[in-house]
Amino acid sequence: MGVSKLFGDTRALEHIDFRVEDGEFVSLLGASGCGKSTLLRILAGFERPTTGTVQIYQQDVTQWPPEKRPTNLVFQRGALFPHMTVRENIGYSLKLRRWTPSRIDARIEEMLALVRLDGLGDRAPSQLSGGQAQRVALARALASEPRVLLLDEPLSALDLKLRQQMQLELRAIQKRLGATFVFVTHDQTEALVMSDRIAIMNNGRIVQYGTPRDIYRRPNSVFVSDFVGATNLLSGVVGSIDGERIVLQTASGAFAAPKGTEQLRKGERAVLSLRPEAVRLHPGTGRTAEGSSVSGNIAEIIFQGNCVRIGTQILPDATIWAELRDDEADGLTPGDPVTLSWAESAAAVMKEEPQ
Amino acid sequence: MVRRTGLLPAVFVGIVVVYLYAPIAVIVLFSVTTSPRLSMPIEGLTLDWYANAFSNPLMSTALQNSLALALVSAIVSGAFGATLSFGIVALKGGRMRAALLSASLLPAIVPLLVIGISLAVFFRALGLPQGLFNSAVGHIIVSLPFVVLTMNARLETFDFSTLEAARDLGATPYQAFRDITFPMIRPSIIGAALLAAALSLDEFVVTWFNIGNQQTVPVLVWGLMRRGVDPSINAIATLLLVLLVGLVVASNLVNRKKSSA
Repeated sequence: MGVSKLFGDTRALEHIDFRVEDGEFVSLLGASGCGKSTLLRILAGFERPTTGTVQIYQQDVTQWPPEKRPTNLVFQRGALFPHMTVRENIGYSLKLRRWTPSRIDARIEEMLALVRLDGLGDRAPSQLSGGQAQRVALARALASEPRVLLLDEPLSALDLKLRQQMQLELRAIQKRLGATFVFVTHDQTEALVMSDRIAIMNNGRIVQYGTPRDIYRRPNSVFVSDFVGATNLLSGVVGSIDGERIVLQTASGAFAAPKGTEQLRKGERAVLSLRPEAVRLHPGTGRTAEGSSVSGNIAEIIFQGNCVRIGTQILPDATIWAELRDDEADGLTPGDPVTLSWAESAAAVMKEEPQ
Repeated sequence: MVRRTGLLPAVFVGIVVVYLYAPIAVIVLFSVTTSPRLSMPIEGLTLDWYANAFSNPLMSTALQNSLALALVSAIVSGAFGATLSFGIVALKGGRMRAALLSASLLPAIVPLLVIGISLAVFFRALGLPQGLFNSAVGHIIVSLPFVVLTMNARLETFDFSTLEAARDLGATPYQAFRDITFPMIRPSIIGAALLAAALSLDEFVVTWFNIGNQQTVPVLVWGLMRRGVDPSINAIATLLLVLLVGLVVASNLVNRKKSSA
């Protein structure tokens, strides 16, 4: 399948061109107001792009109304029909398609089983919990077997535990059905956990589109590295580029990193991004064998339960955060001199963005 | 202490309640007493005045006219008001919404006298003779703002994404209205229509200017009053009161039932 679109809406979206493969779980990730919901509504047919086209399975559906499109949408707050029972909600699209009552009933049972709500078919939506309501919304959207399921932050109203459970369930359902899911979220963990590919959006553009691993390990911009996961940023000037290796001159030393996809020239201002969990911490100021290193003094220790975050001041205006297991931080106190080190391959260099 | 501080407010509230309801209570009371004059002491109870009221042939015509006007007001005002209100709420915000809302509520502020006279002049200019039709138009204008207000209160909580959900699931705009919008707002429309009927039943000013030589219950009562207070007027007034209270209570019940579901 190919949803490819290319268009420029006045401000909401600019020049978006992306493709979703058949059976893929793709997330549109971005902060509120970045255009991700607008993009989803264009796919669903509620908004028309100013320019450009939407294609689903090689068919141009740009001018099709929502009811004709092979897409169904799961709304942020469910949007269940309050005057219908759970069964009637799930069966609504099938009734419109003039399925026979016995076929509809069979399908409703199948859907209830899929979302694990057997036995709740006769309830009114007002008698459901938030999680149950979203499952019904999912079942209702899936009942007519849409080729593409669109989900607009369907889990954002649920509490953390339930949300995590629903993430895994959604993912499992998608794999079982082999359907194509396009999922909108502002929660980076959610996107990382569920997706085959993630499209990061900012200011109406897709700034990076790739697998969760790619995006986390090889962010192509300061925005992406900062938005997805926590990161340390050190700015400097590109010193040398040789083959697959790039060296950045910063105020705290020269650091090497693999050459990314971005085109950087020697002498250009650039930023080094380093994930806190890739940073190792050694007491004292001795040099270490591993790739890059820098020394400083511990400024802050933050206990987070499953890990400890340690901020080390390497320059008066620069702090590098390291994430350690709780027991690894035993005996460390603020003020201690330490050496930080990381593997060259753990760092990424990218263009500095004008703020 | 509680008693002492509570006494003055209680007395005050009592006075207000008496002020509000004493005239009504007197009318209801004297509609069932034997004395032909409004005087104490009460000598006996009777339903004669009710029989008397209905034996007047003008009364049954007036009642028919009133009920016909109430029905027309309920249906037309209900339909217009619901459509208008739905459109206004769907606008979500902005100047257009504020302007439309004000425009639809304006007739509630314009003096009835002005509406009555304007309509009379307007219909005369069109060459339409005074009559029930003209009065019906007036009743609809007078009740529309109240229909819009009650509908708006209910529609504020209407989840418009359910309509998008219906479209998304394959419903045409008409099917979405038939299956989702209408069943959901039906109780509000019925409640608002009952209110419109109640407002129409006791409308006098606009009616008087436009009905010509026909009569509704309020117009008839006004005519009878000019010939002196007849106790059958008390009976008519009491009947009207029961009918109106019944309609307003029903209107509230219909709305409440839906919101508690």
